[in-house]
Amino acid sequence: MSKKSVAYGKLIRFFWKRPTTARKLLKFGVELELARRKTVAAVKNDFSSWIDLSALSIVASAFNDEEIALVNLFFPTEIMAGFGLKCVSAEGLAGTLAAMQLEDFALARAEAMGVSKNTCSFHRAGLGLNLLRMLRNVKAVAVTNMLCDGNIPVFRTMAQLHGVEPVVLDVPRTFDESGVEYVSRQLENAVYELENQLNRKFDHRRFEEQLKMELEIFETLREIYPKLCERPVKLHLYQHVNLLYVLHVRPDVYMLKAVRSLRKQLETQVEHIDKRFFWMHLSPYYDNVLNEIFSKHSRYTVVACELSWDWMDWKVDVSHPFKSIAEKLLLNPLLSGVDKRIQFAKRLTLDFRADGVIHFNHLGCKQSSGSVEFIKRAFDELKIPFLSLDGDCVDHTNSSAEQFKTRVEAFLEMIR
Amino acid sequence: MIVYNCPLVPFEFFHALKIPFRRIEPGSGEFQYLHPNVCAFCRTAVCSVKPDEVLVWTDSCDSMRRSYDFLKKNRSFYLHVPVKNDEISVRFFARELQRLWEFLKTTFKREVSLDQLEKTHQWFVDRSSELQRAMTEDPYRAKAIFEELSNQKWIGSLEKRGRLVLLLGSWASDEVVKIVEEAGDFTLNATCSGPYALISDVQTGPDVFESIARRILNKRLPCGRFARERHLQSLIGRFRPDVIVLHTVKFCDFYHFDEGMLRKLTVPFVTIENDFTNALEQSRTRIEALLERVRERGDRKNLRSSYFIGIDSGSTSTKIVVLNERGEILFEQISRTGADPRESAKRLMDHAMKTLKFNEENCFVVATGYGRGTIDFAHERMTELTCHAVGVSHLYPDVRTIIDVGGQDSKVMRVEKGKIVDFVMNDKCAAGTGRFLEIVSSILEVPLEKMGKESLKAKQQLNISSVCAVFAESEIISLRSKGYSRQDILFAAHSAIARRLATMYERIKGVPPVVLTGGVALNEGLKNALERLLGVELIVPKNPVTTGALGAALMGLQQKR
Repeated sequence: MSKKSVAYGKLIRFFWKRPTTARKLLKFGVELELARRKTVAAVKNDFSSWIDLSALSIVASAFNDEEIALVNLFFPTEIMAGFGLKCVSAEGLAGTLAAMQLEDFALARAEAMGVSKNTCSFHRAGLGLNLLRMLRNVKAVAVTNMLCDGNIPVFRTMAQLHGVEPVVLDVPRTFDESGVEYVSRQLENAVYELENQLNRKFDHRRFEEQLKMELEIFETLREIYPKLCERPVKLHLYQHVNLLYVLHVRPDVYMLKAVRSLRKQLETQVEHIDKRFFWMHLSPYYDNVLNEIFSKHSRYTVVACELSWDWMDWKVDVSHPFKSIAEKLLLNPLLSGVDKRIQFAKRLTLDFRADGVIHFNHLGCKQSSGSVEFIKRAFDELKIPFLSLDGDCVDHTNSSAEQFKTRVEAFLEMIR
Repeated sequence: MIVYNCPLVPFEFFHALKIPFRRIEPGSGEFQYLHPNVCAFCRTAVCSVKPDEVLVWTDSCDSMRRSYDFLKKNRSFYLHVPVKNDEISVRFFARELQRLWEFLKTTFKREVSLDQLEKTHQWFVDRSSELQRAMTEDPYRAKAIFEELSNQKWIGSLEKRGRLVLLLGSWASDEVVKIVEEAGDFTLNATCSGPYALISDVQTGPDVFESIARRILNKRLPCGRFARERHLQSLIGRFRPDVIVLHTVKFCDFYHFDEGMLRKLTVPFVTIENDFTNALEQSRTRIEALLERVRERGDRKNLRSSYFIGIDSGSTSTKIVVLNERGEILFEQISRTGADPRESAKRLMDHAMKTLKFNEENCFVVATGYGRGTIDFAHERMTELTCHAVGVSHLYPDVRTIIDVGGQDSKVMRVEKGKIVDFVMNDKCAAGTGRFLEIVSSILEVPLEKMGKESLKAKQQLNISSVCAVFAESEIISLRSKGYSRQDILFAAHSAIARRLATMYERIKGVPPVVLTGGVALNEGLKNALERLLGVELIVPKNPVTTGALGAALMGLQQKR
């Protein structure tokens, strides 16, 4: 998302027709940046540095020949920890390509096999990257239809490419006893399927360790939530994407360090924030004008992103792990009707005392933007300014910087 | 009245309870509150629901879920249909179905026993088996059974004729089928608006709800949303279609994945994307071109004509080519199409008759291009895809790929011995077409004919990321305000359009020799950019604009004995 990434992308672009070289360069660039972020995090020991490191470490797994499980953003990755597989999400990989403005190769590859240009570009680019044979050590492919049903054919195709059977988790839209039982039984079954496929035993101890780590991460966040609402930390807009990505795909030891440092930061630091914004859905991951407007150094700060807090109604229960994970999925406020999502968005907006709300309609995501009209009405009733912004988080040719600028600046002028 | 949104519903319940039911259908209006990202089917179908109707709404896709948000005033049951069909899913789905059964009984105050429901289920299973047999043996009977079971209108004719066109993909209306029928062929509708949506591999068991759950989840042709692969091979093996039309809906995430599977088979196919705007003209061209591809060139006729005329009525210009009986070009001319395509074509025809001194009885006219339907004096009509293939192959018999960039659309065709073997067309937007260059020309105030040459004088390689005409316009203005030269910006614009065409070339796996046609072929900047991207040398005919009309004239000549 930085100019540096774009410049490095230009170098890789030059070698793109030689996939082995391009992959090596991609791996080298990611590892170099990872080393830099490790140093920065160790020195600064602050929330944003640990998040940035954690997010990149997930992407790095895809290129450094570790055994990986290719998953979608909402798949419960805890079970993969029990198999010693590192989870990498197709959406995250698409974001990495977008940050280097290399997504066009992957998108064109998916399009060449017939995938419509109107399909979500996270999934198109993720699939394209697999079609380009850029991922080597994929041991499992796992997907849930939660919040996106376009996932299923995309991941089915990716599984075929890697010669594995996809693990599919079907998530109903209502939280009740029957739904929890249904999802937990599927999770148990997925473990059984993976044991057969991977020819290795599921390690319950590692699985529990992962859940215990998540317990500490989420409970720390819950504990500091009131303080954070009162004095939020300043993050670049793209760092909110890093945060939600880590919380969903791999809440690991870096994330644990991030929340611990956040607790400390909140005790000492007070950052002046002029205007506060609540962000709904995702934001573009490539270098773009929105990252400039909502940078760490701007007077306009995004204080919370909807998808970083969608776990709030859930409590980790290590003693009933499968049931607990099922509950996490079914308690997601975005899962069912729009009313529940509105209640959740209102709560965060009011808790964080946001001056405005921005909903980013990522092209092809019907789930998120379908009923944006209702969300707008809800914020109108609260008299909180609301902006619905159309664009594409991955394909930078599908948005116009000038259009973003005009719309957002007009919105900011409304609030000023 | 019950309204259901998708055939993954338990029809047995409606029949057993004797409640009238109907399926939602897209109409002419559009529901403005649903975001334009939502599939066009839902945006129009949601308008057809009346406030007093009871909904049985399956969460068949994200768009359906979001549509449901707007229907909260109706009494309704929201049915989650699993994407898998293993035992865990069947049991869960059976419990959901049981809840729906209780909901319907209470809502409509009906008391029907489970025995009766079981009988109705068995009747449904027997009837759907009959339906499957009748589809090949007796279409009239198939229609009667299908309408009885689903209360949907049968789409398409019942008299088998011409070639068999298998229609796959998303819910298709009779508009799509009509295109096939007007070409004289027969459609087998295997989308979810057709009989195949009711055919399952049934396993009945002691629990009626589990049996119904299995019937729905175990559809013979899996729904695109299901986790299991759509085994199209068995369907294709059974019906042995001559061609396949893959019908997708804009913003539907499922069915375009079938294209990968179809590419591995030998049956010719075409993918069309429907946005339910009633503008199916591009789809018509694609389907007709596909049918022309497999059509046996008809018997030669005892034509008395001495002049063979091809008229290509394009969106921007109309072209005419007149051949004699030896295939020599006697006359060719181009004029602007304007608002009346017929009138422009007639004017060219009159001019040709006057110049060559022949009359209407002595000529055979084949019309092609977007306006072909309006040219009522033509003896035959063909799509421009077929005509370009014939015209270009006549000039360059070894040609394997043709890239035609017209004013309104662009096409890339792979050909073998003058016949198209695969093709792809751009979407309904200016990206990758001459229109895009016209817009750039007007913003930069560089005449269209000079743009290409000017672009070659660029000193630096700028990048215009978007080929969307609206976004590109603002990018170009922004580059100009930053002080970049016209030549540099033109270079970037030509590269952007070439990138779009290169993707299409890759999609059909283009191979050299490649011929570039259409008005844009004269643009050296685009030719250069494309050659750079594809790594092949492009051949441009002496008159690249008239190859379609030439092909049309040759198609007429080929019919003379």
